[in-house]
Amino acid sequence: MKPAVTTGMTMMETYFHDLVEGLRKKLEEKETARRRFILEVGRIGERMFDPGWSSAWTTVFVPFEILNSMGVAAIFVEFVGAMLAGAGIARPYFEKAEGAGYSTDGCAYHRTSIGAAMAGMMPEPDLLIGATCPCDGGAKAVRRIGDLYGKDTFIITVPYEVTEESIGYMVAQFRRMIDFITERTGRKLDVDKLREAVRFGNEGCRYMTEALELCKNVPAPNNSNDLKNFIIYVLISGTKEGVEVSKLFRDEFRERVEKGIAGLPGEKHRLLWIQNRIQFRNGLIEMLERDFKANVVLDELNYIHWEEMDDRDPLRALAVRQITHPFTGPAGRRAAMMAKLAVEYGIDGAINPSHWGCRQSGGARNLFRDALAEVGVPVIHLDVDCVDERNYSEGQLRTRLEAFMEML
Amino acid sequence: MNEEEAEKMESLPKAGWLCSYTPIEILHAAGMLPVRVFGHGGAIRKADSYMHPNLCPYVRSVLDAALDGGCGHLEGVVFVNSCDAMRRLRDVFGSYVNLGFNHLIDLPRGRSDGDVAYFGRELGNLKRAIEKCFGAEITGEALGDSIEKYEKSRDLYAELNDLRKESPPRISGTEMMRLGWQIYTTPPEIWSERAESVLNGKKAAFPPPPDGGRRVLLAGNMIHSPEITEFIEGCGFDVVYDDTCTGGRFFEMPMEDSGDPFGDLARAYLFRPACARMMVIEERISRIIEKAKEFGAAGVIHHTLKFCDTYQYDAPNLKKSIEEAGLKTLFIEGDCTLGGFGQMKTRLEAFAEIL
Repeated sequence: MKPAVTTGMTMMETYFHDLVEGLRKKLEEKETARRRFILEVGRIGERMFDPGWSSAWTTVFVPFEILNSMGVAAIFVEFVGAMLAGAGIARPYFEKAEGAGYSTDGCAYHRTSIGAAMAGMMPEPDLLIGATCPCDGGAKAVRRIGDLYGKDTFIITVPYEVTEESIGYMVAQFRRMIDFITERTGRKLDVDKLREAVRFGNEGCRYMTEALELCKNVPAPNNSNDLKNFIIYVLISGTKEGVEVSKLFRDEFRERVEKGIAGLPGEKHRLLWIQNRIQFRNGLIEMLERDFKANVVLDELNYIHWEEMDDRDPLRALAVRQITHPFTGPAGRRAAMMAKLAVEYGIDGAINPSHWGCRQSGGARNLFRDALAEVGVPVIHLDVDCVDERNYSEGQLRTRLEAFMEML
Repeated sequence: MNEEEAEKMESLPKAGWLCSYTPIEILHAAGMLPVRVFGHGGAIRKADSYMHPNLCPYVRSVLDAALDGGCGHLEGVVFVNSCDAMRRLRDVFGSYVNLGFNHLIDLPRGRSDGDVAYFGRELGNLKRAIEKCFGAEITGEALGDSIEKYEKSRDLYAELNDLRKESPPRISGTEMMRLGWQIYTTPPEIWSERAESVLNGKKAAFPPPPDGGRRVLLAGNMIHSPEITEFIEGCGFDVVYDDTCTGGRFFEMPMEDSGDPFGDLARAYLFRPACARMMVIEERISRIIEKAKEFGAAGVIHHTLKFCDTYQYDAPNLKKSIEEAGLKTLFIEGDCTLGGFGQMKTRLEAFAEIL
């Protein structure tokens, strides 16, 4: 298939450059965990343009530690959709994809990234990697973006059950992925670097687990936005910078708890956010905090589900982490995790944006509702497209959320 | 069907299956009748309370029927981890539809030796799960026999299919679909007898008179009822080849005998003409173009169920490539209801006119 990408310098490079410069200045004024986190993500973005690195577009859950250890800078495509929506400029891109025949029934995160690739605003990758977890759409999107650039895509099949067989199968796929990367970039895996990445990953997760434990305090030390979209952390997990970011969050939350500073002063209700946030600018979180003193104390996606990884067998450790992800395997496992978190965090209610076009989650929403109901936690499914705001009706959602909050 | 056949079928325990990657030979070898589950073809009543309405209409229809006891005749259902919707259907079945057996097989996206080996082990796991649940031993001999019986059915289907190359086709798309459909509820040995009889009858009969139908290839994921093919042909087409998972693609499998039936089945299923979920769009494009040429189709009607990401993400590239090969295309979406198809009559008729 011939490359069909408009040429020209990417707007994304400017975006990351400005982001990093802006954050550096802010950090000089005052260092916060959130600022440092965004800075490090921005630096990963800049690396996509660094000639010293090879580059890859991926889906959200791939072993970035392996890519980093091979000198491959990588960003997941859902991040692009979220970033453009957050900047209020996603529309021309998803509309470009729609104009080319991509259905509005699909996920707008993916449609936006495909449109951005068509518009030539994403850097040309050396290769692409897609995993079937969390969804078919992501794997298909990277494959289509690969077609646009005339680059190969490696697909990882993530098994459903956690067994020795399935772990072995994942490890074998990782080995083939490593060969795939070497064949296309000439870069080889540095096992020592990978082991170091696993150790950094463990250290970062220890701090993050402590930080999240602190969020169980009532009132919580975090507000609804402190850990918003923290899933992007997967890009810096396994790096020294990732450890520093986690430690900053831990220290910040610990200090607030020790000093009795609430993330949301006057916190009355504690909320669990299911899956992704709404990415474009909206007033819902502000309304929840201001009018109801309702605090999103935990995002489901931020929870660290895996055990400490064994750096002596890094591929197996990464395979286990991926197969045991709550988004993989039976949805009942994910629902049970939500219920467990709801109890541990003293959650009063859960918000599920139920992103339009998200099949893997939309197909399980009743399981989520029932599992949470068993522990006395009601759920509201917002039925909103988290990226495409054309059908967004804030007034309607406010009314529904108000009714939900009154019920709590 | 004669009385003896009807009795035999009635007496067999029935195992439900949905995806065309289900190794039905293993179910048959367990002494069960593999029955494909289709839902009800009507409006969804209950399933939308369990799954988001923007999920695969086939999956929701199956769930809708099951919630109303529509799977009561089944001992259990074998699911395949073929796509998000199927995976979630299995999860929801496990919680809200009370069947004795609810097994999911992982299905790799790739076709490397490692993928084949893993899928082979998955098939072995299915065998053991059936044996444990039903107390039935699946012997190598029984499995070999089942493989042979389904192979014979597939060969007969291919012979019948060749009659569609004639102009006008000696057997219509609707007849093929109706006959093919019967294998979803019939043991292969009985189905083959019927197919043989149809084949002999068609060969002996005079060729049909010209019908003026525009020759088209029907591609896509699934057609939920033979009435859909009948409806399409009623709009002025001869459907001369069917590349859907409920039609021709189900009957094509590169089966080989290496003495390891599970390995052979795994390889054959993974290498059969690909569903869009297998991520080999180039192969799908080539196949559609080659088959259209081989069967003399001037156009391609590509039918996708709504909300099917695996097919929808392929659609733009597929359309472009097929049209570049000189074939006209019509891309339509269905929702597993006949009413939904009725609304496409004007588009189908307009497409017939441009061919």
